[in-house]
Amino acid sequence: MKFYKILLGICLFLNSAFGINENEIKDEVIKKTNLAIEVLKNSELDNETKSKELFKIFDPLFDYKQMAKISLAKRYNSLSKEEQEKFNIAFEQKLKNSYIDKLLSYTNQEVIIQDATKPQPTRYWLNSQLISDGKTYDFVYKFYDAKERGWLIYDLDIIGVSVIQTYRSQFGDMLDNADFETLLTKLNQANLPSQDDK
Amino acid sequence: MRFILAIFFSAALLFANTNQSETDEFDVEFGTQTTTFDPLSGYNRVMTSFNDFVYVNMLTPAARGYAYVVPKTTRTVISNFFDNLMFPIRFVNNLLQFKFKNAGEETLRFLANTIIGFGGLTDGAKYYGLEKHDEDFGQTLGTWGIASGFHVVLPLLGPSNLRDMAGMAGDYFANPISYIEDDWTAFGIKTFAYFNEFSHDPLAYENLKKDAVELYPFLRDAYEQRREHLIKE
Repeated sequence: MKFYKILLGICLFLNSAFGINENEIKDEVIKKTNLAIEVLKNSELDNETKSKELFKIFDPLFDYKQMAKISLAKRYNSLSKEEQEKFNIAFEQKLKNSYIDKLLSYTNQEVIIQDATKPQPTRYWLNSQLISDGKTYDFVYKFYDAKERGWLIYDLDIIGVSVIQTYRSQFGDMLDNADFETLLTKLNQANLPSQDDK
Repeated sequence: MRFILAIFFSAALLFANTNQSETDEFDVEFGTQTTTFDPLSGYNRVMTSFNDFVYVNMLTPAARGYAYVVPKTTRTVISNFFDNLMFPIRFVNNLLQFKFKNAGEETLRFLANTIIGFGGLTDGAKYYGLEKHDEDFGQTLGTWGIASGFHVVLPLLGPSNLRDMAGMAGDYFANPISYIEDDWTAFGIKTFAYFNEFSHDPLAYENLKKDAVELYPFLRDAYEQRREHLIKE
């Protein structure tokens, strides 16, 4: 019996270590969306606790490092390891700030997870809809095959606008006119809490 | 030992290659170029700052004040009225894009809203499952294969491009308000319709702006992506 328990433990560990499979993506996203809505609807929690809970739910699905890398395009590889690390941290923070800001504004919208499209074998785009005040807004979770780490999100598409593409354009534009340090400073400045929120 | 080391290094090499091909794959997907052809960039940046100032300091506070004074129901009725009035723009553009089914649905929606919706004051058609199909001349030109041309930021109206500016001329003629004889009255009504629409979510612009690290390329890219998406739809 003990042997089975150990085996089960190993399987569970491997499952978390290797992430989710392609055929688990939809169910996993539905499960996590429902969990997130529960957190958002919980009036006993303050926004800070809600944020922590929400990131606990969604963090395992996101490949923040890959997102940071894509957003900087080829320029990412010309950075030193230390610069890359600084950029990864600032970018993840920026992405999370934007994401949590939208999640916390949730009131009573309906989220429908629909079917997926596969533009290529290593991509899985899960189409979803948010229904608010009778209006429908499309959004897409874009997963890629991160091999041994399972399938992870590398981009979000909201009403036809790729979040990572907008960062790519902004960073490209900034680096055409300024250096990496300026970009990093601006990115960190954008992460400072807004005066209006205080 | 040598054998193990050889396996280790080939595995490392394999992973390195995988990462490289992964990076290349993403570069193809997102486009290798990070900057777009933007000859008016200098003017566009100045106009974006001007518009930003007007939106944040004038339009948003005015719309918030208006939304505070005028009840939501009244503002929705006004929106419904103008929405119904803009039927010709949607109808013509659906036809020009060969979306005959949508053009038909638009016609039924117009009739339903005009007759049972008290001249378009309520959206009664939604109870019959009749949906709106927003199309404009800019999208029609895009559907016909006309490229967007370079980006132009218009005073007060915000981001646009050469194709969408040409499309605005088409929309002007399909808009019944344009046929009011006094130009200033027509302009005033159009401005009020836009302002009333803006008042439904006066903080929408500021919330969008929060996501930007650098405002101009952010708005430019979001606009161009959104338009391309609407054209493909």
